[in-house]
Amino acid sequence: MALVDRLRAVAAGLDRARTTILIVELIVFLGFLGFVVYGTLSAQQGLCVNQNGHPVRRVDIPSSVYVFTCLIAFILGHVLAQIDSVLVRHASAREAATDIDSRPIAAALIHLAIATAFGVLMLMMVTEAFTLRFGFWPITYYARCSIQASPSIALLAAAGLCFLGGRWFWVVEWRR
Amino acid sequence: MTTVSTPQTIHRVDRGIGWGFAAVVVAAWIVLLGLHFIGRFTLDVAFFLAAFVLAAAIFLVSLYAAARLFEHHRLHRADRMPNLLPVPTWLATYARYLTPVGFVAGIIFGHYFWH
Repeated sequence: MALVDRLRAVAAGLDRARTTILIVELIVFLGFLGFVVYGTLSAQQGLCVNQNGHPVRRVDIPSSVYVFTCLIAFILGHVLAQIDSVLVRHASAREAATDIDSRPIAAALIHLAIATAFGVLMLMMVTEAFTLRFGFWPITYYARCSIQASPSIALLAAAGLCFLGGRWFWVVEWRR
Repeated sequence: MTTVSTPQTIHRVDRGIGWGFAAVVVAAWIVLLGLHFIGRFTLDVAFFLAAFVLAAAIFLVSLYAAARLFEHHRLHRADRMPNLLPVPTWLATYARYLTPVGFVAGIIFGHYFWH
C-alpha cells in the first residue's frame, strides 16, 4: 500500500504534459518491440540468401532511403528531447523544484541507464570484433539478412534506433 | 581510522578517475593502431576493439558515478552530479556538436564505405 501511495505521489508531482509524452513514448516503444518480436518469431526460414558464405546485398529499398530516414528520425528524437526539457523547466519553475543536482537518486538512475546502454554497446562491439577476427558471421551480416527478409521492418527498426539515439544521446538544450 | 572526504577530495578523485580512464582509452587506441600496422589485427577488428574500449570506459565511469551518488545519498551527504572529465568552456561549446556530427559522419561512412 505504501508503494502505491508513493507511486501516486510521484505521478502527482510530474508535469501532466511531460507524463503524457513519456507514456506515449513508452507505448510506442513497447508496440514497436512487440512488432519486432512478432516479425522475428513469425519469419520464414531461409530468407537470407548466401553467396560464398556471405549474405548477399540485395537492396529492395534504395540505400539512401535508409540513411535519410535515420537522419530524420535522429533529428525528430532530438526535437522531442528539446520539448521535454522545456516542459521540465516550466514544471520546475511552477513547482519550485530544483535541478537534477538536488535529486541524487534520479541522477544515479540516469548514470545507471547510461551504463546499461554502454554495457550493451560494449558487448556488441566485442562480439563484432571477435566474430570478424575468428571468421564467424558478424552482427552486420544478420542486419543484412534482416534487410533481405523484410526491408520495410528493417527500415522501421533503423528509424526507431536512430530516434532513440536522438532522443537520449543528443539532449543538449539550445536555449535557456 | 577515519577517512576524511571533503568535497574537494571527492572531486579530485572524480577527476583522477575521469582523466585516468581517458588516458587508458587513448593508450589502448595507440596500441590497437600499432597492432594493426604490424598486421596483427585487420582494420575492422582494430576499429571495433577501439569502440569496445571506449564503450567499456564510459560503462565503468557511469557505474562509478551511479555508485557514488547512491552512497552519498545513503550517508545523507549533499552531492551533485560528478564532473568526471572537466573540459575548458570553449571546448564544451563545441562538444554539443559532437553527437550530431559523429552520428551523421558515422552513418554516411558506415553505410557507404564500410564492409
